[in-house]
Amino acid sequence: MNLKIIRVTEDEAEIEFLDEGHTFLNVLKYSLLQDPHVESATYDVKHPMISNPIFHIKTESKDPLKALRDASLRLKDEFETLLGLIRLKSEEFS
Amino acid sequence: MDLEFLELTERQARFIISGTAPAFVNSIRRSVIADVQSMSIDDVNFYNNTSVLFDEMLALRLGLIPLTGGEHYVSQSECSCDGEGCFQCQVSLTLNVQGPATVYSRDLTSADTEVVPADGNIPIIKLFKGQELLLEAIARKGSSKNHAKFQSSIATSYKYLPKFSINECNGCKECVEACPKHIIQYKNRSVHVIDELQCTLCNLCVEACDARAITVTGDPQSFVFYTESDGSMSCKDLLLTSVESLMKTASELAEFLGTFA
Amino acid sequence: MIPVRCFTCGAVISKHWDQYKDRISAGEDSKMVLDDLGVKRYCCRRMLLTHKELVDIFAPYQ
Repeated sequence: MNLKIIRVTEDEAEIEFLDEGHTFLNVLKYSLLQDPHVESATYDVKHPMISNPIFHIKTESKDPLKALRDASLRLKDEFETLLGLIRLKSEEFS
Repeated sequence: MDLEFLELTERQARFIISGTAPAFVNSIRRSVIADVQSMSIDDVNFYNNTSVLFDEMLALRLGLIPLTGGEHYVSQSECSCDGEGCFQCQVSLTLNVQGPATVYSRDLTSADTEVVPADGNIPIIKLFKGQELLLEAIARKGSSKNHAKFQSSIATSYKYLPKFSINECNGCKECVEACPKHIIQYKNRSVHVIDELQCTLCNLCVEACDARAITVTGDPQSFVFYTESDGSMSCKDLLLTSVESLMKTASELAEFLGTFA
Repeated sequence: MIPVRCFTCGAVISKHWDQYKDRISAGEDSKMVLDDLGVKRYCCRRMLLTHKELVDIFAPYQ
């Protein structure tokens, strides 16, 4: 995981992801927005070929990096569940 | 979250994934297309080519042939040989055919018995009397972010799970005519949908119905996911590899942020 | 020569060519043959349907 933390305050964070694109960031955004403490979460790719996406998070009474960590842990669990489901159901199917 | 396979073979997979969100399914779709690496012919040394096609055209055709069994290989840029080319990052395939004959992908002789063309009957070039083809092809592992020939999945897509509700049908049968997939049938004074999954949510039946009896909606939490493999790996492996890579990314991020908390 | 893959979706369609050609020249209907070969999408179907084989014409001009 290659990233640069540009700015962190009590309720805001700005992070540049160096080798991630829409594939991961869009689902990360979705996962962050599930958190009631997250006011806004989004990312911007200034130029599709030459810039890295910059992720903005704004929270309320929660550390933004903690919110991000929770969100990625939730995603990890979801992908893990799916992995298990694919294994199980494909066995059942054949 | 739940998952149910409707179809699963080496080359095709169709499943319903429910209790999730479009963002989640889209990340899987994107990952299946771009995060799975496979082997493809990347460099060709021609020793003799007297066929009617130029070397470059033959090399392009060879590159598009899907190759199986690249799991144990690493991409050359990440290899311990520093991009020089070794048994861990490349495979040599040779081709030697004298005309008259049609050269097929099965004529390629691979140095690794696991890395072979997924289909043997892909015609490469037709050789006439006196024509000859002698070449060595180097296959490498690559990502579809660099070239489409490395893409293992084909036509990967998903759609909302279609849901029909029909009430107070007046039996005009307009919708039966309108449906391009022919999945609406008239029976017992009302119309019935025979295969909901085939519906593309085009809404032509809704527009055709003057009595406004039909509503078609897509369930935004359930999806019908479809993907096809070019033969370089099974569909199951394709899905597993991509979800694994997503899971790895998520846990790496969590781990990295854990050092701050 | 028939393109190895479909221009649009990337499915390998050239593997069906020999069988397609033989069955068409035997007088079968192309719709039936394509359905039978499992070529479902119209992008792939047009690859086989509209292909004109030219190698035999080029052969003498090597």
